[in-house]
Amino acid sequence: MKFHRQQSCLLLTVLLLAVSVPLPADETTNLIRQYCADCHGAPDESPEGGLSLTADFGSASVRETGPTLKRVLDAIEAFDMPPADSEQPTVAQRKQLTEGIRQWLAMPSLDGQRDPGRPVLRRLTRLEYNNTLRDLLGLETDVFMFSERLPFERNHYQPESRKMPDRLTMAAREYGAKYPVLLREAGMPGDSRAEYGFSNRGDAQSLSAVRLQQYVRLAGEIAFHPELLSRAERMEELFPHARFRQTAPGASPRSKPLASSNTQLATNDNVSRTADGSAFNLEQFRERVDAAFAEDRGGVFGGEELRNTKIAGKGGLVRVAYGKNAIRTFAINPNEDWWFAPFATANESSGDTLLANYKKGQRKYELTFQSTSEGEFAGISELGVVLLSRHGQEGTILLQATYGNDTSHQLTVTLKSGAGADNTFAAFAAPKGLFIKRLLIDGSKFSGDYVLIDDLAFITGDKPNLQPLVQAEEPVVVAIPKVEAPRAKLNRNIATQSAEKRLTHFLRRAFRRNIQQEEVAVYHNLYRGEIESGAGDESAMRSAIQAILASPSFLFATYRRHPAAVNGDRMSPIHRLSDYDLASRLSYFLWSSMPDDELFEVAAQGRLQDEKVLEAQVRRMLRDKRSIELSENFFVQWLRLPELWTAQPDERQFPVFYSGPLGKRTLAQDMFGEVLLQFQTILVENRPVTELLDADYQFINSKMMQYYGRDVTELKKFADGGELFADDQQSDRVWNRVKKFDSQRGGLVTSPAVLTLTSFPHRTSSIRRGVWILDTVFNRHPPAPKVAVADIDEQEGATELTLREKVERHRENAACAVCHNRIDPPGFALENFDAIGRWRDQDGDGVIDSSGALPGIGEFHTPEEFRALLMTQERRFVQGFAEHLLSYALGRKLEYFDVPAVDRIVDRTVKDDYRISRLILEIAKSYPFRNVHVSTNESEHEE
Amino acid sequence: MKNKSVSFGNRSLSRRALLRGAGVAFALPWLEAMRPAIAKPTTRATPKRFAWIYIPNGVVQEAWHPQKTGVDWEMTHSLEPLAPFRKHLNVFTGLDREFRGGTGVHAQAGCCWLSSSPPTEALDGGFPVNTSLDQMIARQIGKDTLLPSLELSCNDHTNQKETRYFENISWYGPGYAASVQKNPRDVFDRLFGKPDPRVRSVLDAVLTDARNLERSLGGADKAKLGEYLDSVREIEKQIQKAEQHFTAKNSFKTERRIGGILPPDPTVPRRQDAASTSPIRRPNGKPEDRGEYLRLMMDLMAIAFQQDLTRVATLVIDPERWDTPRIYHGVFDNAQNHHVLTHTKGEEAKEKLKKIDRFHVSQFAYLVRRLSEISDGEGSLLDHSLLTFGSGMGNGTVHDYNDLPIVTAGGLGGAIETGRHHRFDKTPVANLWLTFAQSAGIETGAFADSTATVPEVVA
Repeated sequence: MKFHRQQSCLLLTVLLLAVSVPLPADETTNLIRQYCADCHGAPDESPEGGLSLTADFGSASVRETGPTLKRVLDAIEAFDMPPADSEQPTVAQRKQLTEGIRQWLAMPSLDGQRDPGRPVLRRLTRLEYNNTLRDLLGLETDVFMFSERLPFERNHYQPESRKMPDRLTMAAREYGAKYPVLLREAGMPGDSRAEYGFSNRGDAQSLSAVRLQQYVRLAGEIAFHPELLSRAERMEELFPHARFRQTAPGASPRSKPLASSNTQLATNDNVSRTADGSAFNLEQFRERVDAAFAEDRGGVFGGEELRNTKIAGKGGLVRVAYGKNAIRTFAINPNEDWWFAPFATANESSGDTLLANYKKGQRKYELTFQSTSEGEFAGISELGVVLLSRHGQEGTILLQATYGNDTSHQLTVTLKSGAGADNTFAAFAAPKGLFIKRLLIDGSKFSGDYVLIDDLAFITGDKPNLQPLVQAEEPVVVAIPKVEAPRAKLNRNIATQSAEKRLTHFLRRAFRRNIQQEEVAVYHNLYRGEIESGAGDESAMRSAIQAILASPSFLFATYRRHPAAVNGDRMSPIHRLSDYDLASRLSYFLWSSMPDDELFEVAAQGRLQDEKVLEAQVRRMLRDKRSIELSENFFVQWLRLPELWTAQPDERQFPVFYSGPLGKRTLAQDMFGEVLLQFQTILVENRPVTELLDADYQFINSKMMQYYGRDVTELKKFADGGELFADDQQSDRVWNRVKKFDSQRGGLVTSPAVLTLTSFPHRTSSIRRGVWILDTVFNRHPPAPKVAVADIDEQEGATELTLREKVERHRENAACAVCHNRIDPPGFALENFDAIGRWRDQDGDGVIDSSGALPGIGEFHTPEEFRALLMTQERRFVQGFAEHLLSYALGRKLEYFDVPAVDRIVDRTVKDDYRISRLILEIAKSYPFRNVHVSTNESEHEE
Repeated sequence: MKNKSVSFGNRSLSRRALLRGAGVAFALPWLEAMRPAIAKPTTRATPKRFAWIYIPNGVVQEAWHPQKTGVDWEMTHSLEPLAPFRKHLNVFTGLDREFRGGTGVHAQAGCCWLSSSPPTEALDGGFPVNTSLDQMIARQIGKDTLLPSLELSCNDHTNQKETRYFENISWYGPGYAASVQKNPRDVFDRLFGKPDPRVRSVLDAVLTDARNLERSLGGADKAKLGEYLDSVREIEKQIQKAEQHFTAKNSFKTERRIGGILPPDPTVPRRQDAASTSPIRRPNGKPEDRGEYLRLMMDLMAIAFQQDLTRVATLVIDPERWDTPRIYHGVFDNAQNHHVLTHTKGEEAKEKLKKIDRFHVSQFAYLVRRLSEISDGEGSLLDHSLLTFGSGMGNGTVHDYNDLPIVTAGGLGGAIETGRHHRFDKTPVANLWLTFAQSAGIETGAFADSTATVPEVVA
């Protein structure tokens, strides 16, 4: 069969050759023979690199020769080939070669058409999964915490304004710190990236029982989440009595609590004893708290969610929601500034945050427990706490509980020195009928400046709440106005319809396509089965939701066979994407999420194939806030920015990188923010993508001012050249757009972020930087070495040489030189920037020589000249960028047959001043984006 | 043991919600599950167990490989933590694997350690990965256990900077990695969770959906969807087996051996609950301390073997390359970058590498000790196991695949002769793997690029 297909392809190619403009194929073939075939001879002559270029390319099927031709094209365009010591083609001949090959690659290669490519079936990435559930269910948070979610606030991103503010606030939480999600304990392993590609590729993913089991479990935890009906707005379309942002019937209305509680009392297993005179020992109290928590009358407050915050001693309150339903709250009022932080010299008894006095030396403070306006709180009847021992400090701490009648009870604990060595539990029980009003912590006789406690465990005198978790099944009519206007236009009428209709509505959105009747039946049967076994409507519906969220149609991005994919009278392997599939491809490209209602609607009306409609949708979607994912997902993966979070420059050489308690505050977040804001500006203001190579502006905050050694008086506002606010020197949250101030730098290549993430902790790596530039800027990654060799900058017996000399010595080996002629020079050009990207003139005692040459482009002597050379390669940069973005949009590796599509995208982008929205639009309109190669058994038979 | 002494993960979920939600929920009492319910030692020969533990980036070979061969081999600096068990060990030198050009040298070292296809075969984008040895053996001996195999990893880097070829050593087939579990709590739940009958109806529904979908997909997509279908079937099987565990709970109380088997050890987090007879409590998550994390995963492996929940396991101690610094608690004061150290000149770096090697070996020694303390039929669990510890790279500095560091422990129920240092000369490591495959009962004359067996180790 395969043979048969090749024949027909060949025949078609020949036919097309006959009717189209005659190609200068022979000339190109001759040039290949002239300049390449000496080394790349016939397959039986052991050609160089195993690559033979003696085929008759002009008449061969491009399906067969395409991959080879693409390699040849890349090598010629990059001036890798012919090698420098060989005869070189003239400029005209080079042009002839590349244009000739491009024409070959544009030939039809599949069923008389160009191959639109075939992405491997893929599942949603972690990020897409969370975004999709957010939009599907109408959640205000992620489902679980995961490391790809950037720790930056997003309020500044207002694409509808088409203007980035010149002065904006972008706060960041510490990377890895917790943030509000639906399921605090849940998670899913990260997604592997593809080699030289993105994580949204099926060929880079695996699915096994372990992972599927996690999906099933997560689906269940979401579907049966006790707060689903009040935290997921879209549930108002599915459940008649769902009320967004309102608590369940019977519970008191609740504003967002500052902190929640759990039952995790001293889970770190480092509490060694219970204080003398304590009302309970730790084990007893654990059981009591567990029981109280289950009945909504107790919990444990460990400060985790408030990490690195301070509660003011005057007027500050911590509201704590407690119990498994978190429907009751009380407030803690400290009389001195209170602090939630990690301490390296102590071992927290749970989590990694402890509670301490904020002011150094303020070792005595009192906590008052009071009710809030949010409903019942009888008072605390039993209270436990862990006193933490600390490295190098010791002494006696007094605890005093004061009861409602102003009587009190005291405990003293003498702590030995050592982090976690003498963590001690102590508990109070109020006399019958009384409650604990205040807790005094007095460490006046403790040798340290801070008194550290953890795990404030409390049991209230509240009545047990024995309500079932899944709320009452009957609709409860409560007319309470919405807090805010709904974000999505909800169709609440659906909620009053039959289960089947509700399921159809939900399925269509969950599966992002039209639903067949028999598909609805699958989940409707599940629903009915539940009802028959005694469940109510709500519970049965939740079961159906669980199944839907675990099904492959939800978890995978699919491109289904189009029933109308007919070429003449037979099924073609090339399918135009259906409207729904196109809508999904578009929304995962631009938003990393599912289509919204409007896009669905356009798809449902069958209008998305209309280029004008498609264009209007793309423009609309780019102005939607969700387009921030192009920066947070695509851009971040493209530059490999996540590696910045884990970079650990040597603390002795680069102390400036670290600040704050324990050196936990690093410059990684500021460097990251700087390039992120640059890209977001291009996106929001529809600027040329070439600004990534050089721009006349940049964003800067106080930390980066220090880093660059500039202050507010030296920097000028980008908009009017005026001065910055003096205050802006102080805040790392405030970012100003300023005029470019450093002629040594410009663009991503010289950004501190990139220079740092391509360095080792102790030194720079010219090879890493060179490879990064080839990969990222030009998308022409060097192939993996053919032989197993040591890292090139680690040569034997070369300790006396400079890094550059070592690298150059290695390059004398011809086998290495082929790639390293391309890799090394860009790396050398950046040697003036140290391992955290600061300018330097010397490396140790040696003066830095940053000269070099880029093959076929020119020579440079300084980083500035190097960047000037790069700027002459705008088209190649845009081509590399377009290839990366197209590969991301398609979820597959690009192939030889994509060359014409990329060329077209680049041509049109160049004509439109390199503007990013043009590039994105042209990708959305491109042939491989709107079509797909679906190999079916049927079509293979018919070919 | 009472319900409430197990710490439930999610505060905001009710028991009911949990039972519905969890694929295999960790419902209690689970002690009944601890008794090997399916394969009873009294009615059958004691099963053989296999484990592979992977360390990345090669080792400092001069401090690792002994010179003297046979039973009199001298203890080396790096292997010293294993000294108490030397009669249970085999140490190998001269086993090599051939590098196949065109892929990253680190990635291939890891992903092809147990699947070294001959250099002529490149089935997965240039990577010669194939069904790995552990999976072949799992298909042979893992049919009756709760899980055919267990794939664990202590790669807790969050930056996802490398591809899956760096962190997977276990492959169902070319391009189809057996995903690793990294969170000890998830492993625990998978081993000891009680099956939730409701999940059955979820699986029924999604299976129907998958079949509908399959009809509308093309050939290549069907293959990928096959991973989903396989997974559904495996979960179904697992539920079935877990149910058998939970229904067979007659003789547990008289068999009180479980509590005593794993003696209290300060390195294993344990509740101060004297009444608890559980060998291990449900972990809260990943311990911060590196050694504690590794040993907890090994404890889970040991318990899975002891309870006969699985007979085949792999553990990736760290992934290849992934040069992100990490803290080795109690070994260094600050974070170290294993990969970068292998390419750093000078004695200081070498000394650090030796410390890392020794640290890893001592963790392996912990597993060996654990298994030696657990009685299993006649003898210890170690006697019936074959644990292989090593790397797919020899010398990380030059990225070669020669003289791979490989140490095995355990006699596999008398099938393997132990106590020796075997020296070979440029022999494919696949020869050793072939020998192991045969000792698992697989009737084959070749594995990957093997040229022969290694009869020296066969008892």
